[in-house]
Amino acid sequence: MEDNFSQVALLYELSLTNVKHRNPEDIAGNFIRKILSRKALNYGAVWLKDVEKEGVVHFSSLYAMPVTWEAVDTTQQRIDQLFKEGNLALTTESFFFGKELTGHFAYFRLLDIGILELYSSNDAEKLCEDSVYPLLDVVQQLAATIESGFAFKKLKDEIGHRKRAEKYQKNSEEKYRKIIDNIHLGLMEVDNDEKVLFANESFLRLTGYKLDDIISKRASDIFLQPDATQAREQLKEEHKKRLNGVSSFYELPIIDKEGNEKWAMVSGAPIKDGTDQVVGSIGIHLDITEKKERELSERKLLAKLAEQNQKLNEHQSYLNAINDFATRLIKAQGIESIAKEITENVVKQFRFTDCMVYLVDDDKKSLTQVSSYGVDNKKGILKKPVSIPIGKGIPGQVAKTGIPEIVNDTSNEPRYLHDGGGLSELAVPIITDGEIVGVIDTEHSDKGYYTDKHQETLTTIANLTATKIKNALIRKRSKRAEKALLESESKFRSIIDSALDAVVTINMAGDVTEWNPHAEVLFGYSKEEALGRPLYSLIIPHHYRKAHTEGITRFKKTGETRVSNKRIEITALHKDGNEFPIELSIKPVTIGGRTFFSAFARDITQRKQAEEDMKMALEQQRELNKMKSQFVAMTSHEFRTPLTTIQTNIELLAFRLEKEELAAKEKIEKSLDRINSEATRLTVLMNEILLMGKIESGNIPFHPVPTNIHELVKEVIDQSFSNQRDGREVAIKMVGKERDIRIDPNIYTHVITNLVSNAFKYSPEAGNPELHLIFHREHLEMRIKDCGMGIPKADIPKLFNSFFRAMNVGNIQGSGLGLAIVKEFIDLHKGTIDITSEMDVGTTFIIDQPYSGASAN
Amino acid sequence: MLVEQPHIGSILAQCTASQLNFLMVGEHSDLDISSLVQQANEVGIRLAGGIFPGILHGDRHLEKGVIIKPLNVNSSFMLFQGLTQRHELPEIDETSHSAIVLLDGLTNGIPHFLESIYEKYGDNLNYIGGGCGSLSLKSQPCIFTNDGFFQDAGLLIYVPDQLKIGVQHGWKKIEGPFLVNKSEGNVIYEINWKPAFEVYKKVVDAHSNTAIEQDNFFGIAKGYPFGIFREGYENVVRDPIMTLDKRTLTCVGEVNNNTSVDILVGSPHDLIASAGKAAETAVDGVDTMSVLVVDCISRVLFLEQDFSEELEVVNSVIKQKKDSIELEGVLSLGEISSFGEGYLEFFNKTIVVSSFY
Repeated sequence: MEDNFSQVALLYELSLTNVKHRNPEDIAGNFIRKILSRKALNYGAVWLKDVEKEGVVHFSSLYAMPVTWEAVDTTQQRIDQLFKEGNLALTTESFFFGKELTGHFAYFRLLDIGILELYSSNDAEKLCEDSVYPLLDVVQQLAATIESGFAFKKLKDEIGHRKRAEKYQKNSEEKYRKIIDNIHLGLMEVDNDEKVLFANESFLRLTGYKLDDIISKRASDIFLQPDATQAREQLKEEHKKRLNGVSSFYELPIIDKEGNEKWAMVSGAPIKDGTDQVVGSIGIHLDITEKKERELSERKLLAKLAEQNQKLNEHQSYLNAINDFATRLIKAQGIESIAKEITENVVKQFRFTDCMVYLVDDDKKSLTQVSSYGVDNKKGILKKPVSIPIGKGIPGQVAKTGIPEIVNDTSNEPRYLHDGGGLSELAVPIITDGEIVGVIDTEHSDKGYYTDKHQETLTTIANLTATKIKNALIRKRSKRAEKALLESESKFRSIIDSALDAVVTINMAGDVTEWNPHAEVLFGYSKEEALGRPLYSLIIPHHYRKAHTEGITRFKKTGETRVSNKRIEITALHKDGNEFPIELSIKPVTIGGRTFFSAFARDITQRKQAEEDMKMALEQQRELNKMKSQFVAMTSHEFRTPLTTIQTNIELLAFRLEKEELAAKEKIEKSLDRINSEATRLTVLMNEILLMGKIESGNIPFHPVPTNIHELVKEVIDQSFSNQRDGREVAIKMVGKERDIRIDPNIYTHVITNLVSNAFKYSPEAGNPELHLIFHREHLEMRIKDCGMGIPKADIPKLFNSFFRAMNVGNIQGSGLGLAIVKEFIDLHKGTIDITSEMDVGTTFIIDQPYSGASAN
Repeated sequence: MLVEQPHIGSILAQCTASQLNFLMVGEHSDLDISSLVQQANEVGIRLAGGIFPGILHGDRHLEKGVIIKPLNVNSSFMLFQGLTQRHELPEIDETSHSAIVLLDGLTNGIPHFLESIYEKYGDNLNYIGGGCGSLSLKSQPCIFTNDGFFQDAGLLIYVPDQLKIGVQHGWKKIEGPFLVNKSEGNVIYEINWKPAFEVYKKVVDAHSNTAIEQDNFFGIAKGYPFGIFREGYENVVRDPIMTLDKRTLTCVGEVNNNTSVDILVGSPHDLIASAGKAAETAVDGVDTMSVLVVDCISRVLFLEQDFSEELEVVNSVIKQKKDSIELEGVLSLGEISSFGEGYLEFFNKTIVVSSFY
């Protein structure tokens, strides 16, 4: 009974063994440990049927205590034999290992999953039928538990696997999604019709669209410019590749929502389904807009760098040339040497045709050439140094203004001084301490050759040389000054000694320090007698001594005198006691910090006398002039009156003659013409003499006003020269911008009339005289030209003298006063008149009249 | 060899240099085990052993002293720390026939450790052993080797000698079977779906005519252990030692869930008779060279003065076998054996006599 209870308890215990376990190994282990412990068995094992192949069944050990083999093989036939009588078999040898192991074995079939093996080494009762049979159900329960354990494990594994797979997939998807959304690369998915299926955040940011804006729309319609033919073709080609399952990289210009153009590098790949069919494509887009812009900038930068490099090289060459010049300049000392360095360097280094250096003369009125070098003068020989007035020509203008000039076409430049040089010219001033000391002038055989760079270069050279030139000039002047000083001193000495004036010098004490030979003569004292003695004791009359002393005292106090730097007439005392008139000039001089008074005195006794005589003569002359003027006035009046009468009567006769017969009329008309002509000539002569007289006496009314010179010329021509007998006319030409000129119209009428009249008179049977009005910047140039007989060269300088006539005038009538009057009138207007003439070719009078003219008298 | 007044020098002097010296130390020996180990290492003496509540020598049981048992020169040992962990047990060769198993009697994982030993070695080894530690039940280092002094450890000493083992306890069933339907480790929560203490008390009170309570639990419970059924053999005894809450029962050793148990009772006569029987089984049919006895300390506590009679019985059996053989052994916290062969168990209130041959 007790055993039955124990048996039942054991069965119950065994049946509950696996309540809490699901792991097949734990299930088997717990059962076996329990049964070994309770039944004091030696060994227990659960074998699982793994594989059945070709009748061979492979068993693996699920649990064994103690641990033995991991696996055994047997046959299904043997198994079937073992359990032929049921699910329990009792043996005395091992089913698996045969007689190798003997003892007492109990084998339980565990459903279809395996076998439970129990073993007792020597106690048969432990594994007898009575002992183990009751275990059948519990063992079957064990089998079911193990089987369900496997199923549960499998299910658990499957669930776990599925969960893991799901989790993995979810993680993958999340990861993928995060990657897709967080990568900075834009990602877009399209179907086979290129319609957008998906785009990530980065792509939407790149293009400025929202996803809803682009879903199901054709990508090329949205992201390409409508007229981007090339891009569309490219995208079409890429799409074809995708449809053929080919991936590729390409760069594409796209537009965003705002229409801004961007560049994208696209990596496109096809998307395939499970059947390997292409169902769409995916493109990863990288914004390379900045890269493209950078490339463009880089290209531009490279080009700029290349340009700058070239400029740098040029600049380097330029610097080298300047440096080379500066080095050679150090050695040059004299003006000529410096100037030579300039001209040679400019031509050789900078390849100008020629170069000249001019320096401003001491009188500051002209430039003198000091050096010349050029392709035609490679030895730098200066045969005849050119001198240019300041203001004339390009170099003269530059010397006047201090402003460099470039002339791109000298043929069109009226200021250009034709020296057979070049077609373009560059001149820069040499300025030192604000003073223009010279000009560097260069020419080139090509028009428009010179650039700002050339100007800059030449200016640099001028600046480099300015100080050196200045110093050289200073040295030259200093030497000259020194020489001059020495000469001056010697001269002074000889002047003083040989002066006709007495030269006396006293010191501040009033003592004589200088007494020239003429002072000896004038005052009677020898040099030895005079030197060191107070002046007042020698030659100053008593009544002047106080003033003399007071004067010196005043000068000591105030530095001022009443008589210095003036010529005064005073009396002096001879040694013999005579007081005689002298002209005195006193000058304080400071030599070596000490002040002296130098006095120049001359005896004016004779002059005084002469003055008296002169006074009388002047008085007489005045009377004579008065008489002359009266005479001229009277004469002209007296001449004019009868001349007028003659003319009037002639006219009267002419009128009467109209009624007489033709032959007699013709004779009388001829005589009358002659008389009229002579009378007219006399009248003109008189008028001119009178006019000249007024001019000489300064009685000409002069009222300059702004005048339209063109209108005045036309008026004069119309009035006086419009109906010439020979049909000639005056050709008027205008150059430049017309402007008013300040002149006295009446006086200028006379000038124009005279010159045009001469043009006609001295060019009989020649072409039309010409009158040119050239409006320069500061002055009017009026040219009256004829194609007449010309004027002999020797006579040209005297042409403006009164009553002078050229030697080739022949019988052409004239008073010889016309041009003199014209000259006076031009002088009155502060203008100039010049003549160019060539025998049998013609003569041109050139008047230069400043627009400002002169002010009225 | 017994060293009654143990000190390190005298112990080491008794050790055999060329052999593995198995030391059984009474817990009141007042011996610095760490220094012993250190000095043994210095002089090259191999040793392994444990601290026990008492030692046995001849017919005496001592709380103080050291028994030094030199083992076969081919003996070896393996220490395992943390018995709940899975340990890789070494392979044995044909020279090892038996194993002395010592473990910390107060640690966890004893069944797991014993299962792993049997899994590995099965019946290829004969096993004898016991639980080390202090009767105070205070957990402390109690196992030592040349590697140090350890607690929560297990020690396997492989000896080439064969062992014949007699395992008996003498406790008899008074009630059962009961089903331990809820337990955890060495704590029983429910028996027959009722609070364990309640069920136990009912039986014990009825049999002892004394009300067992929490405060007098040990004094009464020592006479009423549990027995786990083992077919063909005496039950495996589980010794309840306390109730912490008057609902649960704490035992020496684990009681698995859904284990059917009996409540046992013992008498001095039965216990002493069982000890003699165990000794007879151990020496029967073999040429005993030496004897090792592992006797549960709780038998001492139960038998009290009668315990010496138990020792006399065992000793007389041994002496009858071979007079020269001296009884040597330990009073342990739990006993280890396989009932001679088969599944390795952890016993309580049992005497295991092994004969080395």
